[in-house]
Amino acid sequence: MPTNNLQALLSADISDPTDFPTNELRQLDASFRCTICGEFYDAPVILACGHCFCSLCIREHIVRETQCPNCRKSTAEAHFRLNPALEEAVEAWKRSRPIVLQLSKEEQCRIESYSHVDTQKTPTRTRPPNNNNTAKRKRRARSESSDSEIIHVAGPSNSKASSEVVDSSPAPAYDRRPSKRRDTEPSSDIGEEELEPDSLISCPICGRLVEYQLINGHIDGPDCGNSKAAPKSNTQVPNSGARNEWSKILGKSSLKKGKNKESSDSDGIMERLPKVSYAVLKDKVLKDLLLSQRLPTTGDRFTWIARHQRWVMMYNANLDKSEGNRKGLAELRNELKRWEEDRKISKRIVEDVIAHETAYRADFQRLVEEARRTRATPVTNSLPHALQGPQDNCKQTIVDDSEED
Amino acid sequence: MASISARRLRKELNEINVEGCPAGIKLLSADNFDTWLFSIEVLGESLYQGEVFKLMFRFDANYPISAPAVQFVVDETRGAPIHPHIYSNGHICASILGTEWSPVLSVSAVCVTLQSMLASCKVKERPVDNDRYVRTAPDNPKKTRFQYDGDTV
Repeated sequence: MPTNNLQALLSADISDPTDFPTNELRQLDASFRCTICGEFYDAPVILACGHCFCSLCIREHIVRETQCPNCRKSTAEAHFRLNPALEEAVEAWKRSRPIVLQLSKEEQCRIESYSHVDTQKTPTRTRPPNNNNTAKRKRRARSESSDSEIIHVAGPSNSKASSEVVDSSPAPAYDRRPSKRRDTEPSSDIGEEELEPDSLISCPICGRLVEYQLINGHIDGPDCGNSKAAPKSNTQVPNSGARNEWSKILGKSSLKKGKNKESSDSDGIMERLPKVSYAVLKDKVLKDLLLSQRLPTTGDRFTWIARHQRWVMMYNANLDKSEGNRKGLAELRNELKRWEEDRKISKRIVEDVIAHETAYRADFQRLVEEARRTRATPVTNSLPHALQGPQDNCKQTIVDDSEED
Repeated sequence: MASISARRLRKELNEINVEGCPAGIKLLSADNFDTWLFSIEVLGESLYQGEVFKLMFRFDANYPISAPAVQFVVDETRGAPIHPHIYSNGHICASILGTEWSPVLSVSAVCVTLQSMLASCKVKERPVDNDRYVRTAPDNPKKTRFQYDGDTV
């Protein structure tokens, strides 16, 4: 299996559906992800055709092509509709994902050791045909009795299994002491499908982990509402060094149209930024445009346009989130900066001229050869199948690989 | 934070590693997020029975918003398939690699499309303008502006 350092680095923190052991959970996880970036929906928007993408992803896409990436129906920014319900679902899934992931992995381990341990105890039992049935049987066995015969009952339906879980709401759960079940169940998986009074679950309102037996009190109490903002404080990045750098740049420039005075950073940004036709703007106006958004004016005109374009996209995409999830302007600026750095890295490659020359010597020679040959025998063919004139292609070969957008 | 393209490719690679490639397609190398190599063959009845080809993907920083550059590898051991839409230098004239690219497509989706493009081939022949194109073709097929013919690609 191919690996390298970069991959090792990246695999550490990039989640994807294959983290889950079963297909069903993979599908569930995938359904919360944007099909463009593969990440969990960030500010999901629906197009007129009904397909859903991250706001930023689809904004990037329609700059190039005004079609839905899924069905190719034509679309435009004006068609975007917010999808707060999905956004909420994604947030909830993000919070419960680690728990579900852990449970499913433990379950997997248990199933692997299951036949091993149990066949010794009750040799009559046959190996379970597949994971899902095992889980259901197990659950059934637990909630009803410790009689091992129950486990043989063929395929309880989904609905039955789940209704059992619902039935065993807090009160009955109290009665069954974990210790008792530990005695009857040899495998080491107490409390996987059923909640123990002291097992932690995340509060459906504030998302905080609370003991199961205390959850009702917690929801009613003042604790829950007050802490609403606490788990969502993901907006602050401890990257103050970079921010300082940028604000240093920003500090120098006077604010000409200081509309967004960045009072408390997260509120006060409500209006979407309009699109700009950069081609008709003079450098000075372009610069003012950047300054009015408190963006740095380093680089050339091309950089300014790219920067402002990206800023408008990020800014407007940010407004497609529900208010509680929006990022502050300072963080958006940080992200813009990181985005620029990413692009720079991908372009820098050619800087080491000598290494580049040696590495591509063969290519260069081949190209030179080909160019000479082309000149020697001018092209006379007609072009029924492909492309523009040959000269254009030759020129394009020399063009650097930098991406243009 | 890794760039969006690297993250997306990482996910695709994970999926390939865990769930495997579509039938007839094998991952040869994916040591970085610039270039991936696959082997591709057409299973079942086709003009390309028993032939195995090498496919190269090159990604830029804007993937998946911009299409990957995809071509068959032509070296001492392998050539490009002989097909009306595939040039002898390995470049492919397929609309989904150009104007019809969509960011929801993936590496394995492209592989499957190319596989079916080979499978549905009726005549083994080079494109009519093969010689002229190959003589002047850019290194990167994305720099060519192909004109896509009406027939199924």
